[in-house]
Amino acid sequence: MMVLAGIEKRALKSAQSLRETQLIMGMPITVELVGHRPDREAMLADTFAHFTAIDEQFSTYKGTSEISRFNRGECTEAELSPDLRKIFALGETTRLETRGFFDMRRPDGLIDPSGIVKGWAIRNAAEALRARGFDNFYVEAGGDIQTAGIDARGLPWAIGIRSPFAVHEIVKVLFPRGKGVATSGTSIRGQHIYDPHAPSMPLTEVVSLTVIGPDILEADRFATAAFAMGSAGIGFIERLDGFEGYEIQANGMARATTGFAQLTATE
Amino acid sequence: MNNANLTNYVQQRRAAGINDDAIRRSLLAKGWHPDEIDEALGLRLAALSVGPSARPQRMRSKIALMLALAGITGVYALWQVFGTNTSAAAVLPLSAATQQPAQTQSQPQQSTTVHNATEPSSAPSSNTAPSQTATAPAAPPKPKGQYADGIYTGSVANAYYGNVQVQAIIQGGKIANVKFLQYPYTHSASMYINQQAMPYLTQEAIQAQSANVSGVSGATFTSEAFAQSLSSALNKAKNA
Repeated sequence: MMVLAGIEKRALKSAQSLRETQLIMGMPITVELVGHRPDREAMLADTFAHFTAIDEQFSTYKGTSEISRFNRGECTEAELSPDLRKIFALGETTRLETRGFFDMRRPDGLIDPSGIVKGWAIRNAAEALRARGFDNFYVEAGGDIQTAGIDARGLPWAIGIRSPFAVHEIVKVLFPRGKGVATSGTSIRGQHIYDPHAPSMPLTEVVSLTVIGPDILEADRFATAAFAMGSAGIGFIERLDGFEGYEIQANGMARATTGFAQLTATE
Repeated sequence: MNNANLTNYVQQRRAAGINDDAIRRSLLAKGWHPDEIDEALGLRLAALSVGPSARPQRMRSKIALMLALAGITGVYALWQVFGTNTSAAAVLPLSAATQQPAQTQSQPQQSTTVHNATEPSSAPSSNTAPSQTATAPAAPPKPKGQYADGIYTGSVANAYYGNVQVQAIIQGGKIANVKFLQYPYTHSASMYINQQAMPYLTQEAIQAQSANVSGVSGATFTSEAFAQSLSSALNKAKNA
């Protein structure tokens, strides 16, 4: 058993890169560091510790988290940590930028910051990596991805878009070249995104919307909002400077923004 | 290619080991109407008769079994809740459909086919409860009007090979109809209405790619059953 575990670990660890996946925040989180630096193991551990800390603080599923205490009225807005305040502010900015389609306030009045927290956590992890001189990496949380530099083969990072109809199938290959890639869909844990303008209305037609933005935080928050817009979402992304999108409908048809094709080009 | 040739084409592709999913997508890409493809694939007419299982997969069979169990549980719950012949009849076909994959250990496209049995036409609005003839066993009576009349939409439930979403129509406190709003590889009228012209966007049929990628962006799947969608719709009716 130990031998097998050793083999598995080696498979992910080479002179060229170190890659590990852990289940945190209820989702698989994967970090890959390219290059062989002596401190790469420590950096990897720090990155996962960062995600664990964010989960402890902002998970609505953890009764002890700061957001849960706030939702129970156990702390006032004035008592919030600077980080949660930042997240609230980002949520409010996004709500205004998306004409209310992004809203952390759920129909029951409680605040669910998860629409911001995931992208924010990935972006902060990426910033910490860059601050310590890691220029070639891959950070993914639950299908939202930030890459930088090159992969272990020395090539630009290649990212697939998952088919909403077949879990092991990809329907597109992207080269984000430092941009963030986030996908919103109806197939993850049931329907987790609703239109705040009409909480009882279902989101049909569009089953997956991938957004490529300047960084993962930007891509993620606009993917969430645009998905809530239904079939109008891809048009919203088209009009958004610096963003591209790929929408998949329930009938297997897809629509892409005008600049999307450039992201699929190998050169 | 006319429709007879289309049927021949489908048979040839199947004989070549191509699965129905792939056939369907390539035909969609060539501009065939989904209804014609469904017909050629036999999804409409011989809904329950499907070919031999090409590559049985234990995991998928397990999921099918879970779906079946969820379906049975859902039906039982509905009986408890509704207690009218009509409602039982409206829901029974779902149960029959979900049981099928578990019994035959069928592969996913067979499951899709089987599910289509509950929806004789591709337009969900035409999906009336198949047996209004009160062939279902009688259930214990419940006070009338425990559900408010209206149309209630269930949540989107993932059925592994696609999403299922239903709408329950309550009249006189009972289920008058259950419509499918989302169904794996089927189409609702509203889908076509929403294909409004956005000339600057490029449109294509999705196609599976084989490439060496470092990661995949997308939603992950759960084994939650479609029964979830119906129960959420009925919860709304109960609390309305």
